[in-house]
Amino acid sequence: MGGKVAIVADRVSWEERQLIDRGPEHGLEVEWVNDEALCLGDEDADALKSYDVVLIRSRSYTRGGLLASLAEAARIPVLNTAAVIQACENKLALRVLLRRAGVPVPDFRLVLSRQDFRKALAELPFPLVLKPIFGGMGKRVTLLRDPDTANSVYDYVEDLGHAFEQACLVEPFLGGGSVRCLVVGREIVATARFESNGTDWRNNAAIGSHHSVVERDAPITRIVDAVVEQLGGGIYGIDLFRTGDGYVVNEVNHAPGFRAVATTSGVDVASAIGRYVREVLG
Amino acid sequence: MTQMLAGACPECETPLSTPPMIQGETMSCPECLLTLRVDEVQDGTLVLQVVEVQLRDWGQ
Repeated sequence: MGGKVAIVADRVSWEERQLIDRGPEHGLEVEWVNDEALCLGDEDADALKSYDVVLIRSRSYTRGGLLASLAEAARIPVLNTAAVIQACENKLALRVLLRRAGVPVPDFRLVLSRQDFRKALAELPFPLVLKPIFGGMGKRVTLLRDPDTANSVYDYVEDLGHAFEQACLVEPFLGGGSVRCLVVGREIVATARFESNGTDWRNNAAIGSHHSVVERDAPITRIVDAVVEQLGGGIYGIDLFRTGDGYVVNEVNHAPGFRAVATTSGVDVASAIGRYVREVLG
Repeated sequence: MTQMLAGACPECETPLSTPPMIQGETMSCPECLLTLRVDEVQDGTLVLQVVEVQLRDWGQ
């Protein structure tokens, strides 16, 4: 029963420092491993061989899934798994997965071209949100209040260098903030409401939002359980929007920042992760 | 008394002195304001590398 944990990331931020500091309380020796210098591929490579488990904490959505795949190929347990990371990093793939399982998600249209965009504007009521399929931290997520602005905004999307970056979702704007649920294993360990701070309509913690305590009620537990049922146990930041018909799942972060939720809720999320890692290791 | 660590900014060569830091943590150079990551700590000396504040594919 080893306890050596690699945190794979490009740097140690608040969350990683918490995980490193709390590790010994759970019999874990947690170390940072630079995600840009692993050169994985050889199944017998030394880079991660000495670790009993790898925690993927890359901020880069390019790196996380790729590194998880190769760490698994080298027979090292990885949290979250490559399959889960690859499902979560692609907003469309995740929505398809959840919708097929009957888990409510926002209505959306896939936009790959100006033609798609025009059709999406015709089919969905304003205000709308345009967001990249690959991306996070609220970057390029745009609130479209009217058709004139929308068409000009799409000019900028067309100017992006690669089709990969141009792939977007258009969806109805579901205002009123979101509920962020931190899941460790299969349980919700902390929740918080994220709302705009008044200077930016977006409510991502990375942008600077207002956070408040939110009661973990039965509808929240029910929808989060349904997500975990599809993804399996892991470490997730599940983002919910409230609608007139109940909650819908906006997205799931596979390497969630948890500073805002931990501070707001008063929950020691790093210790919860430490306990879970210990459980996974046996 | 906290033992301070010493280093120099790899960009502007400004001498730096910090409270204990671990590998992977970052700091700003007070002179050129670049973000520096601690790649190693050798006998109380920081080995620092300039890193991006943000990359285009950051998303989690």
